[in-house]
Amino acid sequence: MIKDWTFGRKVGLALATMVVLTLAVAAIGILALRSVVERKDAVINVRAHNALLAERLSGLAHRQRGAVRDYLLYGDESFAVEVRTAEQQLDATLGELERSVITPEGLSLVRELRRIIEEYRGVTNRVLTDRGAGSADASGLANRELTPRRVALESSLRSFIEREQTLLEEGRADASRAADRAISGQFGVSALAIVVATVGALLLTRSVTTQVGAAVHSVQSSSAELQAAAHQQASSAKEQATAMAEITTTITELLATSRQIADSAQRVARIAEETAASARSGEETVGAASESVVAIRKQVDGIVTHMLDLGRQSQEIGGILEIINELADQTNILSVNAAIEAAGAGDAGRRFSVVAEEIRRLADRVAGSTKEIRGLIQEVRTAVNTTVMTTEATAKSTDAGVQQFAEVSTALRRIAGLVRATTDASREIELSTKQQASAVEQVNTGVADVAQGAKETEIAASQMLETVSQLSTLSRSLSTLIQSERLI
Amino acid sequence: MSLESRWDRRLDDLRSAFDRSFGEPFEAPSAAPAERVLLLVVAGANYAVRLTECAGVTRAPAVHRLPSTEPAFAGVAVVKGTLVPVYRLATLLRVDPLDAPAPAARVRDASAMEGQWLLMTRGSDRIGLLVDGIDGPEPALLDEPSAEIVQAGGVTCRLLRMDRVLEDLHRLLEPASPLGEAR
Repeated sequence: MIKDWTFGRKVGLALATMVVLTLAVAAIGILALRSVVERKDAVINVRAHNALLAERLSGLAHRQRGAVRDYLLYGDESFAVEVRTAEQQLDATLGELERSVITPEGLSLVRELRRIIEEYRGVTNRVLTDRGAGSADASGLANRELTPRRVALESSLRSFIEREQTLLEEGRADASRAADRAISGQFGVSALAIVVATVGALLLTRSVTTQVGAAVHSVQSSSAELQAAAHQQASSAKEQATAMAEITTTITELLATSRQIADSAQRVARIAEETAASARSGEETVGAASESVVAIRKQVDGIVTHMLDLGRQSQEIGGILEIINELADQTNILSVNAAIEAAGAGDAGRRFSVVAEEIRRLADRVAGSTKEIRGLIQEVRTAVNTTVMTTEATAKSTDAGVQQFAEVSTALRRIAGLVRATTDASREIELSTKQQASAVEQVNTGVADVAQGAKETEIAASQMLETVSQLSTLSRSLSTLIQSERLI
Repeated sequence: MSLESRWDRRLDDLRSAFDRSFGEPFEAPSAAPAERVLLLVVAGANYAVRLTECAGVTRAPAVHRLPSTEPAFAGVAVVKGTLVPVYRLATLLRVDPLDAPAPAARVRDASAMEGQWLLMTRGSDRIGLLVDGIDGPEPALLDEPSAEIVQAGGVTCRLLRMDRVLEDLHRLLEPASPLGEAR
């Protein structure tokens, strides 16, 4: 798992280990130093202080004893006061000693000293009282009572002082041993720290060398890839710069085209307005024409009616002509028969035959005329039929024309609407195209910036290529350094 | 020229011609006229017959069929109150209608009276002959009395002799014919 740690974590671990070891060394040193100091303080503060107090007690006892002696010799009251002062100082020093001594043996010695001092004080008070009263036995009392107690006091003080000196020596030796143990412990922990630091440094060096070696290999391969990518990016940047130049040219052309479109849209809007006016005029014209066509339709209906009447009248004429034709036929037959009769009459019927011939000619002429009239009537009927059919066709055409006029009117209204829509659309196109031209200008500016950026990218790619080359050189140097480290 | 003006002018012409015909003085013929014939159309062929051999013409009346073995006999009809036998002249002349030429070449347009006509023969035995058309009478130039082809009315036609037709008919009807029976 540690193999997967980063270099920083490993260095941190090593540093933490060294810190822990250093702290351990420091703690051990501090503990040893504190132990030595405590022991020294105990020697100095307790033993030496007690010895000092004992020496002070001894001195105060000498001072009291000297003052008593002076008072016995001279009887001066100042010596009595000095005796009292020394006694008070003895009491204070003894109290201090009692508070300082903590061992049972020492306390026993201190109590013994107090008892002796109390007895010595009682005898001293009696001596001073006798001397003050002028008793001659005061000196004898002093020799008898004070001397043994003085000897006992001095003996006890010496014992106490000796004991305290013995304890002082023992404390000093104990402190020296504690200092020796601290030095030994400090030396051991320091040696352990050195060993741990050496092992950790080796392990860290090996691990870091391995990881850095792999990283250097990765950096080398990445440098190669990055170099290729930088080459490609440089060429791409050049191509991009070229393309941006072409795009700029195209956008410039597009801008010109947009302006042309805007002008065209403006012209289209103007033409559409004129077209709308023409459409409205055309619609009015179509409306008037439609009314005229409706009137024509009514007239055509009248023509059809008249033509049908004419057809019926021509049929009636035809019927009359049939009668005339039949009469002519009968007349002809009659004339033939008359001619036959005249021929049968011989010369007498010759003049009658002439009349019959005239009648026959007349009948023939009437027949021919009726035939011609029949043809004419047939022509008239044909013309009437043709006229009726033409008129009906005209009526249908008129109806279709009316319908077409209505459709044309509707179409013109639609055209007018569409033209209005076209006008609006043209204006929107004009506005949009102007906005587009503005946008294209902005795009052109942006493209110019992009082209500048492409050039800068090209420069940056070249710089990156140079940097990658330097990185490759650096990675090779680092690889060489790592290999040298391994050899070491 | 419009139809109306043409129509008016034609009517005026007819009216003036009709009125003029009555106003013209009668002129008697200065010389003896030529033989006058009646033009017949039989099975599409033109024939001519002298007026003197005809008793009259009329539109073909209603012919009532009678049983007969003679194919030329069509039946009997009432003409001017007289019952007359009626025969098909084409059958008598043995003319096949299928052999006839085109009608446009044999019938004049102006005066031809088309349809079934009945030609009455002159003589004691009045019979009716069914013909397809009658025209004329027209003057005909007859070089010889026995001529069989004549020019009349601008067409060339065969001259029928009614006496011969009747003789042939009598021969056909002998001995038991409707005509004989009528006798």
